[in-house]
Amino acid sequence: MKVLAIVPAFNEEEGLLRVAEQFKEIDGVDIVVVNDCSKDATSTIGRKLGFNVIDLPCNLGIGGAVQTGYKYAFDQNYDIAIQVDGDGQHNPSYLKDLIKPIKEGRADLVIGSRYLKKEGFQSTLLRRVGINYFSFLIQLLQKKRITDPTSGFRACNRRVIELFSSRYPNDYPEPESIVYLLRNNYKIEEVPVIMNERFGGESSISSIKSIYYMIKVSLAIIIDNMRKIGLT
Amino acid sequence: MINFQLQIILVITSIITFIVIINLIRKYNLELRYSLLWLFFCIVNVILAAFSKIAIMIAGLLSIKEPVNAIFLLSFIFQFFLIFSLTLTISRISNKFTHLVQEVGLLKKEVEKLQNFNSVER
Repeated sequence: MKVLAIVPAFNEEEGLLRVAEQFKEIDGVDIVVVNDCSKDATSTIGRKLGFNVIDLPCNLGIGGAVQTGYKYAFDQNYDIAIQVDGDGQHNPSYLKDLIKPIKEGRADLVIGSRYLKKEGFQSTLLRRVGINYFSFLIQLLQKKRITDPTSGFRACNRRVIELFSSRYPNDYPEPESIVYLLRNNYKIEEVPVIMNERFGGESSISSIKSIYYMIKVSLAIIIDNMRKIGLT
Repeated sequence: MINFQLQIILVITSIITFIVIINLIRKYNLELRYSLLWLFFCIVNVILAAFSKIAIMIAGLLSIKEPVNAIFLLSFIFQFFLIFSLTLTISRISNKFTHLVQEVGLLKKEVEKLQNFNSVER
């Protein structure tokens, strides 16, 4: 099976060092770094570390950058694509656990959840309130309990790669894409993972913007839920 | 005071507009990101029209005789911000577009070079 790790990177010249470190022990996985028009040396450092780097001419945000990775995965005929953050928070040692339900045909998308076993870096209080809220909203709309709906550590099969290549939400895409998949009857499973603290650089979402994002994403999820099955 | 008929008309048209916008987003014809201000505008309209006391209070603060005029003034101001936000968006997109066009131009040059290189090799 051809496996691709999609690493979206915006100003992650330090984070990529950590990612390279973590991937040293892993083989059988191709890596593509999607440089979202970084202002720092992300692209140069990525190439120096031996990564495949896609340099976007303009900044698209996390949704657009990750979708670029999915388009690449689709064009290059990969069977499985895994999203890995460019800041080193996601540990590739969990790759096998993430892929297992897909290989066994039990799931189309597998999410690495921090909250199944509540171990490791649990994120700030504000973020956790937001995450619980989205968990509740998704359960309300699609009757499926997702404990970590904002986790960017996810693996998916070819059907989902194709779907995401043609349509993927823009801002804060993780919760919305989950509802999108559930509404179209794709199977989602979660596996427990431990995430590290952010290493270098800054998170892309400040606490002030959080409220705006919560309203916007809630609306987006509710509206997406209104689309009939098949309106992808 | 605001005419009761006017209140009804404002509330109903605002609600219909709200529903139409949501439906356009649902059908992927409109981006939620750029529709948020419009949706907020509809909600504010409904509140202002339904609770005339607020409009009367605002009219008093601004020394406007008729509360209806206060609602119109607020609508104008809101429209200004709405259209200005669109102007901002257009500016941003225009910049990105320039970068994109330049990128395509440069890529075409690279492709040309590669084609020339290949034909020279033979």
